[in-house]
Amino acid sequence: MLIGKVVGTVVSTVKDPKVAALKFQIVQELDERNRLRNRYVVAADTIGAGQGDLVLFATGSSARQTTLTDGRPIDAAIFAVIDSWDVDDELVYQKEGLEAYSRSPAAE
Amino acid sequence: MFLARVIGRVVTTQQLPGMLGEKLLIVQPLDEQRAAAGDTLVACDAADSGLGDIVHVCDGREATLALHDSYVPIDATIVGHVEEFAHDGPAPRISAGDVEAPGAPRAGMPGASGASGASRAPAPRPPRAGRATQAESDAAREASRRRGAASEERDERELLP
Amino acid sequence: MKLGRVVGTVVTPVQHPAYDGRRLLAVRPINPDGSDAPGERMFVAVDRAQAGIGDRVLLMAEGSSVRAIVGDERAPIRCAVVGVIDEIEVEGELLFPAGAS
Repeated sequence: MLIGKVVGTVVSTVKDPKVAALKFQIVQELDERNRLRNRYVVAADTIGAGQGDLVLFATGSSARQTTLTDGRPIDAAIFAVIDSWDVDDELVYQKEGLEAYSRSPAAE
Repeated sequence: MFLARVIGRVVTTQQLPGMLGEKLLIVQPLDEQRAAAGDTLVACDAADSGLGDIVHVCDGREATLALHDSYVPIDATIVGHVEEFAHDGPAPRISAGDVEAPGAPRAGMPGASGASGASRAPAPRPPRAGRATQAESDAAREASRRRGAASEERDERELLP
Repeated sequence: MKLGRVVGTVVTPVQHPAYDGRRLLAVRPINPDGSDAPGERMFVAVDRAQAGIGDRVLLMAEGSSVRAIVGDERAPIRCAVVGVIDEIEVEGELLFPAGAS
């Protein structure tokens, strides 16, 4: 899976009926230090992510392992909004409005 | 499938229900010199891994088969801890003491090096809060497994030429 | 399938039970002439051909085929070494083994 930022949406009226009623987001990849990579995907949104949200998305046939994307020609799916993440025990990102995610030695 | 080092962790609460309880770790793929090889990615953890561990990651659809609930959109899962990596070049072997980041000892970590007999499966997880009975959990897992298998069958029937 | 060269063996005592009793190899994809294939990463693969370090091998990296080969449809295994290569010939020229007549 990859970390990405929802940077836009795609509207398509002429399309295969199998992808009707799916919301497609444009997601730009982020690296582990919260820097944008120059790579984008169009991903089916299974959890109602909002513009600007940092999300996790999966690609390949695994993207069809949800009730919303099953049996449809989908190869990328957003499945979670990220609260926070850390690298080498250092907090890199935290969603606004959330309490700090603390990582005590005892927890691991 | 590839080797990687665990470098971080991702926390999510707004997510698909099947993701509840799954640990998400940031991993850096490695080459045979133990150097970074490729971009970092996020993997589910099926082997009770910690920061600094050198791990074996299974990618693609098969990543879902290592999880309790295989009906989740997961394309990378940690399926083992690397204790030894014998190499044909100048790089030294990765041995049990070579983990670079400090970490608290965990149940299930390997002892003597070179073990090739019966593996130790990751410690079983405690039941999650909210599960009424073991029978219900098993039934839910079996239903999910069937959904996953049916989904794969549908893929092969409908999406391949 | 890909051409590969076995660059190492991997031991994982703590592992998913589907890997019990299976040998893991580290394999680097190569071009027919033996040079490293550009843009390809090192793979970890289950050994189905008794390959050793340095061997040129056939690497299969397609999930459903590999699960059929290992005989477990539920295994989280998607890469396998399925053969050790004796000869590679391209356009009439024997590239491997080098130096053979």
